[in-house]
Amino acid sequence: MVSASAPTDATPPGDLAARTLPLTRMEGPAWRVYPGAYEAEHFNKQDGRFNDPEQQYGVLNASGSDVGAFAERLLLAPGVLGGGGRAAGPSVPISATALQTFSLAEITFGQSITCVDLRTPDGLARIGAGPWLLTAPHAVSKQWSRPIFLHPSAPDGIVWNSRAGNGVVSMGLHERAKPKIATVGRGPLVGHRRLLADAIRLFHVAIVPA
Amino acid sequence: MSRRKAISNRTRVRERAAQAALPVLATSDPLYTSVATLVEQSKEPLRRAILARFLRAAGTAVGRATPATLTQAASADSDVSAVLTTLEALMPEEGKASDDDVITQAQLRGLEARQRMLDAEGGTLSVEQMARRLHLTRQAVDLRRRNRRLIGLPVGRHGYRYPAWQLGPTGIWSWVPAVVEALSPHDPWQQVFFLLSPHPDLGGETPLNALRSGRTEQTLGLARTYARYGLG
Repeated sequence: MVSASAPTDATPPGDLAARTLPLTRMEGPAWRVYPGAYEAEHFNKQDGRFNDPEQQYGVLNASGSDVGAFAERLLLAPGVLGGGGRAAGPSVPISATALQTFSLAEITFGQSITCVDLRTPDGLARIGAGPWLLTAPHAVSKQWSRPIFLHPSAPDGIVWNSRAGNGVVSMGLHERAKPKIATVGRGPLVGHRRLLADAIRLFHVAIVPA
Repeated sequence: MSRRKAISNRTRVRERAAQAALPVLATSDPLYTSVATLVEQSKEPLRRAILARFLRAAGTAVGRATPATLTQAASADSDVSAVLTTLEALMPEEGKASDDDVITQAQLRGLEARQRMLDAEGGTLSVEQMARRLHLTRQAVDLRRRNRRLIGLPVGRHGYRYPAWQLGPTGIWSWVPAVVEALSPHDPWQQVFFLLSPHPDLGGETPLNALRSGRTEQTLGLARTYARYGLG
């Protein structure tokens, strides 16, 4: 996990509504990992980096890749298992049960959606932020959700580089994007061998049996 | 037949079998007892079949392992850990491994990780030990686990192990049921991984330490966020 310190005043600038947002068009698909007992499509009103602190609109949190969705939803920071003397570095544990109870969902876009692109320093600077916004505690980053959501350009969501690292791209789709997307459950993670192998290679995962 | 006599008879049978199978081994050789046990076990067809595969894999792994891996395996705390460390040598090099190989490697690492988790922060207790510490019956401890008031880690046919760090000076820490609830829908193992892993929003400290130091509300908030969203 990457980290950067937030400035003393980490609130959005007062003139954000008048600024031109760094918009990009996304074609999809996006991916989501979710508890299999629940709906594949869920606009969460509570938790997420750019969710509304007032919980008035929901955000569907997803990733640009299936491996990214896995890392964002389940992986923890390395360190609990130490280095273990392995050349590949410390492992990140995941329970074998989680691979059965959590499922993968594919989100396709019927038409391209418009997102605020915070994947570059330039994009972050244009809204008056810096890389710290993507690693700060959620209490800090959530303050930016509402001004972006209420911007006159009415973006469908926000896209940014996850603090999980390894090129993982995160997306928070606002509820207004709902008519443009279709979400299909693809079954428990344990059945997605390629996804699991790629995640293991990238994050040095250890699968812990019950 | 007395128990001592039976044991003595079994030992003699094992010794004769081992001597017949591998007469080159001296009885003082550390391999001698292991081989004797193997020979005895191999009388049953199913065990014999598994042992044959097991030994073939072990032989190949020991042959392929680098001196560094062997040194690490030899200094492992337990036989199981030594075996797991050595077996990694059977896996193809990174870049040449298939998806299935990579997953198998992750499962091997997971077996070792599981033991580390069981040993962490004061280790774990059996249901009987936990019942004694709490002045409860086994059934009452089991009920608390099922009602999510206590974390019990499933360990296959051995039932459950209860992390000792759930116990404070006067019983179960008051934050335990709340954190278990907050971490729903994760299973007990994943809940423990969360509690023992450094958290970026705690400056790299673990949620368990934050809870112990009284930062209950902040930590419960992080637990809920992890459960419903993740760490990103």
